Amino acid sequence: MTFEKALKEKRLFFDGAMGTMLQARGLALTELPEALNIKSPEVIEDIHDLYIKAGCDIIKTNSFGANSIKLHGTGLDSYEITRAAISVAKKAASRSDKKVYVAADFGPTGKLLMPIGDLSFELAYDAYAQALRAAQEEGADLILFETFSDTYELKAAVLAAKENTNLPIVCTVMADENGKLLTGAPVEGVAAMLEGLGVCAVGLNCGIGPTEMQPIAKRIFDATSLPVVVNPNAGLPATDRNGRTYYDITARQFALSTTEIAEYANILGGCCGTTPEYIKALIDKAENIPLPPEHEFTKTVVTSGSSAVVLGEGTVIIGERINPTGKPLFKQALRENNIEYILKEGIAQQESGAHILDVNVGLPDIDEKSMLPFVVERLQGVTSLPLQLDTSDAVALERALRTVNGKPLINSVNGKKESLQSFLPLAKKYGGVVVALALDEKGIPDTVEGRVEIAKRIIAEAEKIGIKKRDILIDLLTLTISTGSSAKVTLDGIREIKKLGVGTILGVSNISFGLPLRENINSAFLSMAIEAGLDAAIMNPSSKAMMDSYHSAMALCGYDKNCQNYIERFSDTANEKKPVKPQNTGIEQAIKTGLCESARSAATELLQKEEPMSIVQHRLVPALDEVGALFEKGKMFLPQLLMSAEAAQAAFDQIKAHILLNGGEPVKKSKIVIATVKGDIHDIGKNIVKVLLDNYGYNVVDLGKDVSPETVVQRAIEEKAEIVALSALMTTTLPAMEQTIKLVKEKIPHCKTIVGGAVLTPEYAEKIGADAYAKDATEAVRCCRELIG
Amino acid sequence: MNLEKETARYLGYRGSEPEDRVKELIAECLSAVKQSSDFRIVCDRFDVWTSVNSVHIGELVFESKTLSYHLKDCHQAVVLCATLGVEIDRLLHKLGISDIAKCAVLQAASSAYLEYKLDEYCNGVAQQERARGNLTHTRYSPGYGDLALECQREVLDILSAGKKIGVGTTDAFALTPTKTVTAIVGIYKEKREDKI
Repeated sequence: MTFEKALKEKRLFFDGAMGTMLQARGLALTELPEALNIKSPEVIEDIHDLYIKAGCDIIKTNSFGANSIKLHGTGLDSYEITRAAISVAKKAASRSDKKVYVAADFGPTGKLLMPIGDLSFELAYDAYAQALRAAQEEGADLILFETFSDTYELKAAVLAAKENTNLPIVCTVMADENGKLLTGAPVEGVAAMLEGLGVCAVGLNCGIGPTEMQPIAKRIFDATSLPVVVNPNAGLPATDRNGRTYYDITARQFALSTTEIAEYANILGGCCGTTPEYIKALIDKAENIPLPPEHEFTKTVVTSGSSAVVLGEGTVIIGERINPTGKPLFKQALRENNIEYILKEGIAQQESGAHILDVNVGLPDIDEKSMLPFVVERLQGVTSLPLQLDTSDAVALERALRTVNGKPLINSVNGKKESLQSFLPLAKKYGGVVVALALDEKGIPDTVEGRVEIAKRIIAEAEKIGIKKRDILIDLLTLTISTGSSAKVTLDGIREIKKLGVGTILGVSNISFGLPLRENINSAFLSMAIEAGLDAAIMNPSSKAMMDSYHSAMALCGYDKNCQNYIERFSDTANEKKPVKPQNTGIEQAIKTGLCESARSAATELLQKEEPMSIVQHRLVPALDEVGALFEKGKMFLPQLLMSAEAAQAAFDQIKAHILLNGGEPVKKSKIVIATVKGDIHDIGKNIVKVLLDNYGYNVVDLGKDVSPETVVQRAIEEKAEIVALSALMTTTLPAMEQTIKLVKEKIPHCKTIVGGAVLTPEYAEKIGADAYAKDATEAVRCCRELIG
Repeated sequence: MNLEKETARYLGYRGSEPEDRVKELIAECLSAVKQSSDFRIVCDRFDVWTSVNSVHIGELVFESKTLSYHLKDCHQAVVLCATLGVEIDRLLHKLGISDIAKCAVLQAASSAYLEYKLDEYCNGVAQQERARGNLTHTRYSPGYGDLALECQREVLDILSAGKKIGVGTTDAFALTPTKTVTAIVGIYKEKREDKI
């Protein structure tokens, strides 16, 4: 019987800990347990034997750390180690009278993925690929990814397994008592992502004992249709008198508490601290408990790496602002690779109350295939919201689906054959929620029936390839009422569609196209759509009128328990707390005191009567110079300097927008490429320098942190940069700085280099060939002025 | 430790009082740090042997004269790793884009908070040791003196800090999440002159 069949038919038991058994046999903490598969396979075989004798059905191979990152520098090869680990497990399994399944066991790489750490998604994928091929070739029955605490790393591992093996995949994560991973993801979100990716069972291991695990296991059971796996520790770690760690419950207690989880879990077993004695006690106790009932999870869930949004309980807001359509500033930002502008849009929408962010970067002269995944990657570093990938390009979509952390929305497919054929298989493979537009080759039907017909056809096509109804949202399309159609078609349609058992989504603002004071219509329509049962509204969360309507309608429809959100939103108003009004102080004073709103409004006022460049040269720059001088004299401190910089930036943004909208040439001084060097992940200093250089009108291209010398040089060439500015915060990354400067000098000799960072000295900067050393941000500005004016 | 003052000190205010707006920002950031941080610590006790150039701590060997000097009278050491978790880093990334002034203050506030939590923890360790007739030294971390940053990885491995509290290092041995500290606390026998 295959593992997948057995999983459905009977209760299965995993073995217990490998590490605990090895330590009891004298394995030192500094030794690699995986090496024993080759060095002393008999020890490993003996442990497998003991667990098989205890009665378990699945044994985990001794390959927890067999990925190429963990084994880097140890002289061991992940492929060979995995082969040996599976071979020894199979040998033990083959001696058993009953069928024992061999699970090729893999843990995390031990490195954190970007943007928190320096490991890229692709390298995480590669780290497992080789070992997984070994698992397939050597004949493992299943793949087990265990003890993961980051959904992004787990996604890389699962994709590697899907693309390098055809084995069933089981995943267990390490959650805390609150049901969260170390990266903040709730277990419900983890389950949604993994079920979307097509694994065959999900669950928990390590971290906590069975008592603490019970409520978390129930939460997983309630959030997935998949069978649940539970491998708890033997209680919680405690320290004995000699300072040695042990786990605090006995085999009997372990068996009792773990058995209590059996009503939610198909597979039970053990992790740290458990031994064959624990597993035997558990099997004796739980063997005859019937399996949990097969159950279908029907809710629509989308996730990010740290949050999950459940649809169907009122309406969620999808922020629509990351989209170049009709936005000249956004288009310019895209063309200039100004990623900060796009990220700011994302952050602002999150702060305005969006639950999900739509991401659309399609422009005729932009390579969407590389831009969409790039923006997705950067965006998920600064927002915790799930994303909606908005594109009509299947290649861009697939790349973004790989890059995105969690389970995204896919915007969109429609009833056209070509769309269904190219997009649905991607949604199935990567596990997204599909937005389906009710239109086809013949256009948008006028009637509710016509649109529902198309929706039914799309649902049928999706179900054919295994996409469930919960992972489909129908967009009935909003046509503007200004041309004579009525919103009723859409609103009636929402009610009809919901009867089909799928969710609904709408771009709300189209309704008012061509009418004056559009927010009036949009707000009223949004309220009506919420009442009709709309699941997701694509809209501008920074529109106060619409957000006011949203909160009112949610409260009226009973989706806002005890009107909590409504009260929270409006209590400030109720208390008559007035917003801070910009003070009329003049732009120079506003910058010097660091008042953003005042600086912005002063700039707007000045632009009526003064040339934009004159404002910059005669007001902005002198005010900044004054602030810089005070900072250097120690009369002003970093927070004040930065508040002034923010205020100057607010004024400057206003001026740039004015120039762009009035058809002038953008204000741009020389280009400066700035980066934190390879290996270094501390970037606040670099960010501060960037903001100040921006203030002075330099065209700063920020490459971020941990940037290789090759990338710095390549981008400096592409951007025709006159200066490369580098930051390094650690002694261990100074060599990377030296290499970068060397490469700059070699490939672009006319380009100047400026360096700074905590561990640098002017002498060292000179030694490694930098053209200038800046001890802080104001000095960096001075250096740039001296070098290129 | 006064967290407000310590944060201001990190921001360059030495002796002088921050202005009201900065004070407000410091208070706001400290409360954000307390809310967003997920302080976790792993530690273990090991036996210590020192020679002039190196130190054995359990199964680990560190080539470091300065650490050897620091631990010269110690028979044991507590090796620890503590972190505020990933959420603070996420917040810093976000503020690095949207509000650089707040970002700088949050950076300082989170460093001050991590030190504060570590002090609290180490005071607890010191108290326990005192009950056993031992005294403890101040914390010593990779990167101090000639103790190379390269040993971060071994420290994390011996504590299973990756698995237990989600800490890793970059290729250049920077700890991740960034608000993470590893340290060695030497334990030595109380002598009569210590009592005086």
